[in-house]
Amino acid sequence: MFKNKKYKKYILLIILIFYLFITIILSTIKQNLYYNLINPFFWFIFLIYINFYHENRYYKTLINKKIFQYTFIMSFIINIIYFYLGFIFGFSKNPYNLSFIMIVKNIFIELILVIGLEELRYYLIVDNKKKKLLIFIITLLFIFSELNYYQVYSNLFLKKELFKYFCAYFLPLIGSNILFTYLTFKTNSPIQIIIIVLEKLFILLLPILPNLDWFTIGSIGLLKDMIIYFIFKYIFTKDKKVFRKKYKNSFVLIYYAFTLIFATFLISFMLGLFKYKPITILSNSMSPLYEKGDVVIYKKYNMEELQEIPINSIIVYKYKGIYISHRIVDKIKKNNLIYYVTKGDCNNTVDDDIVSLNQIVGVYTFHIKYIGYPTIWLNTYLNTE
Amino acid sequence: MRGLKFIIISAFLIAIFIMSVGYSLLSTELDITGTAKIVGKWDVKISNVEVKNSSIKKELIMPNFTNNSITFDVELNEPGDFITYLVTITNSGTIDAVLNNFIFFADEVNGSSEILFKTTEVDKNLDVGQSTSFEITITYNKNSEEIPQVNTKTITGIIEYVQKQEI
Repeated sequence: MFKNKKYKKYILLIILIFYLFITIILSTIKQNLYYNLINPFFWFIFLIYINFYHENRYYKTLINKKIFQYTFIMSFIINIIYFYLGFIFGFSKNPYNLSFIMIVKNIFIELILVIGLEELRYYLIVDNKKKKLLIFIITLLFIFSELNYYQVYSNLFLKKELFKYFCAYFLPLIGSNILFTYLTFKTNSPIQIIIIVLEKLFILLLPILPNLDWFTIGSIGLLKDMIIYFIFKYIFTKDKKVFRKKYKNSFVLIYYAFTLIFATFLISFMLGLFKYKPITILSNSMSPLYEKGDVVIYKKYNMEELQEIPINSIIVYKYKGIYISHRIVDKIKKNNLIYYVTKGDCNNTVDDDIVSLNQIVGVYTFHIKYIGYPTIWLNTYLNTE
Repeated sequence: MRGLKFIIISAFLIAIFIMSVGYSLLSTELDITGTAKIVGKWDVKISNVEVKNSSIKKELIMPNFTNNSITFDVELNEPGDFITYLVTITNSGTIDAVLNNFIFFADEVNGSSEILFKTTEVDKNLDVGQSTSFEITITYNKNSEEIPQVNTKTITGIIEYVQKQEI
């Protein structure tokens, strides 16, 4: 029965559904046992089964084609760029234990999971290529089987944390699963194993990693999937001359390029990589100049420039965890340090605390009306019980 | 020929990468702080801070905290005034953790010398799914007889966990 091809397809689908089921149940009630023992053991048994009862059709494809080389180089470059983000955002210690034994253990657990999952995806996709709806369902099952349900349940009633988890993890998870299904479909091989393994090795072996917040992690994750998709789309085109001729005068190529460039620019702008950065105004303290829902664009100043800000300029500064944008009304010197006295245009009195140079993030340049309202609505939603 | 090109390009990239890692580790200008976030896998963080007890009657400003650091900006007016905070750390990831760093320090330059603090201990081991908590009590020295120029202080805590060695 196990050698019958039709039954093999059903068995693999049942295995995926069963894996999703045990992930949902065991990852919430027996987390430690599940992640350290049950999960790696499950995939270990699966790999033994798959190698005994299914033909190894893709190894020759994987090793002989230039796709392997392209994938390796591209993945390596992407990981280097990811590491270089640490020079912009700072580095943090790698939380993984870097002793030899723990490196071996971590690599074993991670690789077993990756190879098992992607081999399962390969056999399910390649055996059902003509059934697009089934491929869609299979991709969905993979997405939900990779979720950390304990994290989801822990944050279920903490709207802010759930939102961050959704942006940093769930959205990139959707993007990468769509990409991996696409790659398996096009190459008839689980070529994405190279992409994932390289990424895992970077994370497991480096002593320091970029110190990225949830927004950067999520947006970089999605951007990376888009870039890999466009590169492979070009690689898969059989005749490059026909491809160039087809897209030479075509709007589509411009559209793809514009999408990528615009996405990269927007993410970089939001992250503050440029000299100018936006913040949304949450109160009317500076009315009538700008009000709640407007977006202020401020210019970042270095320490020397911060000491010379003229009175009546509007500064953006951090105060007890939030950003405030008020006008400078006075400048004082205390213990040889410069401080600014600030006041909202619409307030009757100056602000309670003086502002030190360390608190200031920049100086107002201009504002855009109303475009901050989606942020206001989201902020209201995340902060209500 | 293609194989040779591939080897050369790979070697070039590996060399660039090794140089980058070496530079980031050895450079004194780069700050290496805290433990990195690995979404979906490593998730040990301060999950909750609440006031356990206080002699202050007015509403207190809650401290700001990130995954592994917390900052208290306190204002105490009279000798004997105190605030006790309860800080909870949770491991919601998939990796068992062990305490690597637990330090608290105060801004003695700008803050009041009469405001003191002490903390209870925190659990060294924090396995997947577990939570632990500690208390920090900030007090205005009850034996103080001087009238200080400032009655505020900023106290910062760093709580770092790393993966537990299990073999």
